[in-house]
Amino acid sequence: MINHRNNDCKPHAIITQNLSFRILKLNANLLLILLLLAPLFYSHAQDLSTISGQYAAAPLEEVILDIEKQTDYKFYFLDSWTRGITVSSSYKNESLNSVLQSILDNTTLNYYILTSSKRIILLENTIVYDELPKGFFGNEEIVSANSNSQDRNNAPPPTFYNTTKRTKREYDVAKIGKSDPNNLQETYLLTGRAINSKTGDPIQDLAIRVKGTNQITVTDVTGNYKLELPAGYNILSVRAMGIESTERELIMFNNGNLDLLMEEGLQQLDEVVVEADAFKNVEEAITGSEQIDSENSKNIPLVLGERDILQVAKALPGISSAGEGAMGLNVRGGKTDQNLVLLDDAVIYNPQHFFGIFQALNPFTTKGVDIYKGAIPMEFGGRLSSVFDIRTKNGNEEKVSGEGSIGPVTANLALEIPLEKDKSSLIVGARGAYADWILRSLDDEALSNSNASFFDGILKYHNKINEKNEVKATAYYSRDAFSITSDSLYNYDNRLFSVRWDHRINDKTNSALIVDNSNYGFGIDFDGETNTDFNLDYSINETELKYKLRTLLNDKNTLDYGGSAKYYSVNPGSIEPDGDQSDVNSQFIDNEQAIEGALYVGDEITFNDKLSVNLGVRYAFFAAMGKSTQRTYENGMPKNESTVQDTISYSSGENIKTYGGPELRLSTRYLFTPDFSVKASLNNSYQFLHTLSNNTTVSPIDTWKLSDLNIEPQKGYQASLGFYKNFKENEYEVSVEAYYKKMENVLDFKTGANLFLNENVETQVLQGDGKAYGVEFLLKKKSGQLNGWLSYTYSRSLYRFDSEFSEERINNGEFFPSNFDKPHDVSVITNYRFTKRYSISANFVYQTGRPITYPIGTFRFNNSDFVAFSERNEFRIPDFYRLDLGLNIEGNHKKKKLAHSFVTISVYNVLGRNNPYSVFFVTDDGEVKALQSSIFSIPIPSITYNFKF
Amino acid sequence: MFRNRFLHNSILILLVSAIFSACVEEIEIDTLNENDSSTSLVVEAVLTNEAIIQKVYLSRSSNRLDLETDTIYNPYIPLGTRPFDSVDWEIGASVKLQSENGEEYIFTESEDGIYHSNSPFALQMGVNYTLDIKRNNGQEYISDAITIQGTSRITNVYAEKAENDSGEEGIAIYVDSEPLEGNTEYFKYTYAETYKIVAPLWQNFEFELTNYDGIDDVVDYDLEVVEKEKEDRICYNTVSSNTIDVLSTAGVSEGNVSKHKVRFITKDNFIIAQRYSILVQQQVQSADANSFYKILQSFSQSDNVFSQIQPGAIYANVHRKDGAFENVYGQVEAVGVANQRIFLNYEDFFPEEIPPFAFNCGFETAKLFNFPTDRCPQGLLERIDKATVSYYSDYNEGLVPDASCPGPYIFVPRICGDCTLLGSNIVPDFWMEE
Repeated sequence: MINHRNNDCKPHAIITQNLSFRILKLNANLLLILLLLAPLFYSHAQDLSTISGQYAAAPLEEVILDIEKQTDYKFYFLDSWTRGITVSSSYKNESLNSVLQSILDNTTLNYYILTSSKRIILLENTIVYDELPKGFFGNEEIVSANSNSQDRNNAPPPTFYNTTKRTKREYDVAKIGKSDPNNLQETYLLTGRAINSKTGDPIQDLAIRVKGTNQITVTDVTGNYKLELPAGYNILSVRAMGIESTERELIMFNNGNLDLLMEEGLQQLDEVVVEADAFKNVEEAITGSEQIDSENSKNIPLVLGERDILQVAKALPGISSAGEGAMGLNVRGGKTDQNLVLLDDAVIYNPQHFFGIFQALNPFTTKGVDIYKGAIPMEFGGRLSSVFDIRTKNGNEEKVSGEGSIGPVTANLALEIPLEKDKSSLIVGARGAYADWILRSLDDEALSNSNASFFDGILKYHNKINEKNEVKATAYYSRDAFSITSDSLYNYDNRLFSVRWDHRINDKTNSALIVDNSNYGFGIDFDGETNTDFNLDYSINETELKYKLRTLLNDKNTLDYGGSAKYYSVNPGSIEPDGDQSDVNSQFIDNEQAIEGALYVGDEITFNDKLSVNLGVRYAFFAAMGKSTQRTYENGMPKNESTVQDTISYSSGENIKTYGGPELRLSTRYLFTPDFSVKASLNNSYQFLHTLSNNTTVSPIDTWKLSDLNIEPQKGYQASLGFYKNFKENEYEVSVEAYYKKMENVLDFKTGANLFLNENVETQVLQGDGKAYGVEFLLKKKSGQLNGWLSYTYSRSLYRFDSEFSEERINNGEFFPSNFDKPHDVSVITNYRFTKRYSISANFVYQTGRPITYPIGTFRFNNSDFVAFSERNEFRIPDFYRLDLGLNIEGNHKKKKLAHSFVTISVYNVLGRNNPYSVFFVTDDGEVKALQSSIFSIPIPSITYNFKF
Repeated sequence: MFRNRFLHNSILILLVSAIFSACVEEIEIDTLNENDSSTSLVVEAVLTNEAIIQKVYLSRSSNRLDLETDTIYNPYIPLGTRPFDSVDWEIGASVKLQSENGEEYIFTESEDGIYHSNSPFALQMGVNYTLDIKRNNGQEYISDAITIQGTSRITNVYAEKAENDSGEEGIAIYVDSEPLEGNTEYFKYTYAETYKIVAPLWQNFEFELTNYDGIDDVVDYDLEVVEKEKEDRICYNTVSSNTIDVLSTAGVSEGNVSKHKVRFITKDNFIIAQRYSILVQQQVQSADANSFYKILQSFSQSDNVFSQIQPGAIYANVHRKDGAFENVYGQVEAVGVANQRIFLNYEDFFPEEIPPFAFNCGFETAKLFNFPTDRCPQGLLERIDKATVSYYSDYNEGLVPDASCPGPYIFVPRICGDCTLLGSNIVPDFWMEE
């Protein structure tokens, strides 16, 4: 704060910036120097100057000026300390000492007079010790316990506080009270109020613990608290349900007041959350978890200027995709169907638009995403690899505000509408693409019928009914439609709805009740020349009821427990004739139904300052239910038409098969020093649904299949270990995390499998093992003009499909690399801020080329030459690299402006690298040709205008 | 069935390139596994319910990827000096088909790699057959049992003016059919098209060069212009389909096929410039064979830029007799066939214009031979010797106004005056003029 105020420094305050900085920072060295020099100077009691003056609400600065005039002393202080302090009193020939005592009486300032050099140093909070504390040199002198004299016998040792040792920097160190040399105590009383920073409401039941002690207090209904703290440096650890856990550092100089402004947020362990962007002054925790804030990702240049937290996620270690324009994310070597993507508690099956190029989330309504790729919190389950917990903002309760952007292909708008002041609000977001006009304006008849468009809209209601209850409701819809040939139109959509009621049951227990429903579907409308016009549909629908509780048992134990139940209904595919001319027979594959449930209980145990353990057990349960027809196959034989033994019909609601088992969630953290820790986790999980896809990458017409009599759930096991260290006042963060993962029953397909509209998918699929391991390195610089991060991942992802029957084997039953196995993955994300308004940013990505099945020869058949392919994924496509640059211009910050604007000019793929996305082979006129496709082969410039009002 | 549509995705590539600069380009494929000399047996046999000489094709796969098949005509290079086909035929094998009823049909190699049944025979519906192959290295193979699933009657083959997916105009050939008996859900369509070729700059005379010993012989040769003895103005060429066209009517009531497009010819293709005929064959397949062709097709056709079908090894329904694992490619199948032929004339569809000839023909002249100091085109004698030109007339400045080195004759690239380069001068048996 001091750097920006240079101009305000009055000439008479001849404090050099350097000196003032050091004072402000309470640098221990300076204090020590002062301390050692102190005996050489006169003490302030010996000063003889006298001062007269009459002040009526005069600014302290003026009074100081006046004193400077009357004496030959110069004052040294920081301008900001005196701001707002006024003096109202009159003095007549009073000593400098008593005048200073009087005018500084009601402030947090102390003074120290250096008589020899005619200087007066003002100090905030602290005092200058002009004698060493007793016992400083190992003096054996016994301190009289009841001493109350003024010789400071009872003075606690001065607080030497080295700023580099701080573990958090969310808030500056709070300095409480003014040291009163006449009343130094062992402990002081701290009072204050906990307030929700966003709403201004008091927070009750906030647990405030004094770190390193067993001392704990809880805020009352009005948010007030009282704590007796030892003099000097203390850390308060603050947590409550629905509130972001924080630690506050403070130095007790005297009794005083500290209001705690708390952020709403997810409960985090006392870990350091890492921000994707260091601009915000928030740092949070990490253990196989990452957090991306939508707003703060705006400086990262992305294709077509679209803010996209899922693309940013790919720049973090351990998260990747098969390639540019590939849908789905692969987390730590897992398949794309192994991620649980939640939008306000409800599953969103396809969070991407247009083949993964855009996220299907409005960037202005999205608060951010918490990504768990290692230790997955107990409340989540049902997917093996990760959880993406995406949260929507709460609307502004004060005034109508909005945010929007206009880019080359898309437009976004979000409106925040208060309904009841400080209580409830609505947020509405809409977003659409208008690529169609580009296609239509092209002089190509073939494209005139093509279209590619998408839309998404979101509505969120939020109401803080009272201090104990809060309700949130979200409705969301997204739709993509595109045509590939003139006669077929493809579309897919996500629809979800969720309601969440947060309730404080008592001082110690909080609960959340969640009801949500999610639907994903796709369709193909085929309208060609023949008699085979059809409409084809697929959909999956799930309804969930979830109840979770958190009880602060005592200082050491926090219990999490709860349960959830889900009902699935899948329409695996239906086809109907389109129009009277069509001879297509209607075909409906029986709907699939199932129930998935989970019960969990876990304890967050804080053994001591250094060691904390989070131990939980989750019991996952799944039951496939009728109405259905299932086949049985001969034991130990490949499942195909010739090994069918029996066909069993199940009536509606009849149990077909149940699966389930306990899941362990264990994670532990040990702090070597406050800024250096080691964490380890161990967990296993079940996944009861699978995607069916025979493409190398995700396609929008991939279907989800529930486990049934013949398809078993996937199982996963993961162990991870990591070291985390912060440097230079947390300006830099370094972490190294290693993991090993095993998967069972993951799905793959017999070559050329026909998966859709197939009543017996089990004859087409294979279930095998997967293993993945890797080391993830992340270096972040979170503040300063230059900030960003560097991540490097070495990882492998291997699968194996083995059987005694050749039709069920891939690559002879050996482990082979998955389609997204990219051992080396480097991302550099940087932003350099010139001024408040201008910044440039650059991304660089390098990845090993992904594995590919390559042709090894040709054969003549049907008058053509065809390709004979190698073993699965035996070769790799060329390495991938890309550089993006962006220039961000903030509009000026005039208050009266109608709207605040933000312009991003970016160039994606500056080097114009023609990164191959896939290499494929066609037989054309009897010749085999290898074709390489790339999605963004040239630099793509774009300009996006964002506005906010 | 929608899969098939999904694969014809060049439009999407275009669409995506329009917005996102996506790009698809051809790249060089290197020959891999050069030291791997092992090649696999390739079996192709489509055995039918028609009483004909049945055929089995045996070849070996190749490690080459840079296939030498090159069909572009170069007027300066004599025919036959460039490799056209590079199939390693499997010769000297013994092939026989056995039915579950004990019948045995022996096949004999009639030309390299092509094995003909010794006598015409038809496969019976509902009877299982297996194909036995013994390679000349002694290794024996046997196919899975194959059987004819059903038969279906072609009710109509017809041509209509149409546009393809890229918006080009042309003529489309459609087929309608209805089932006769058995299980008729899976179809494959093949065709053989025959087109009439008329040499555009044909003359009834040709050069006759004798006593010519090569480029240095400028003294002893005899050059005459004589009347042609063979027909080379009108020829006919027959080409078999080389694309995979499979269809499934699973889910379509009655099993009728209606307006299935088997062929599309753009209107600027010279093969329809004169009279054109197409023989469409519909084959009723088994589900397995149908899926084999679909996989083969999906691995070899232009794909969606975004989602690529996972390729992998596809093996034949033929295995080693001793049970050892060995890659065999190809397919042996039994099909119920139906054939129908139609003829069409270009002007019935596009009366106003006629597509250009396959080659851009023009008149040329040259000295008979050149002295080393001459800066002239290749001499005529040399060209006649290499058979790359056809006679047109005596020198006539009006035809070649800007000739730098005029000679005594006007001639044309051989293809322009001799249709036998593009087809056969024998009128096919089935050919009918209007």
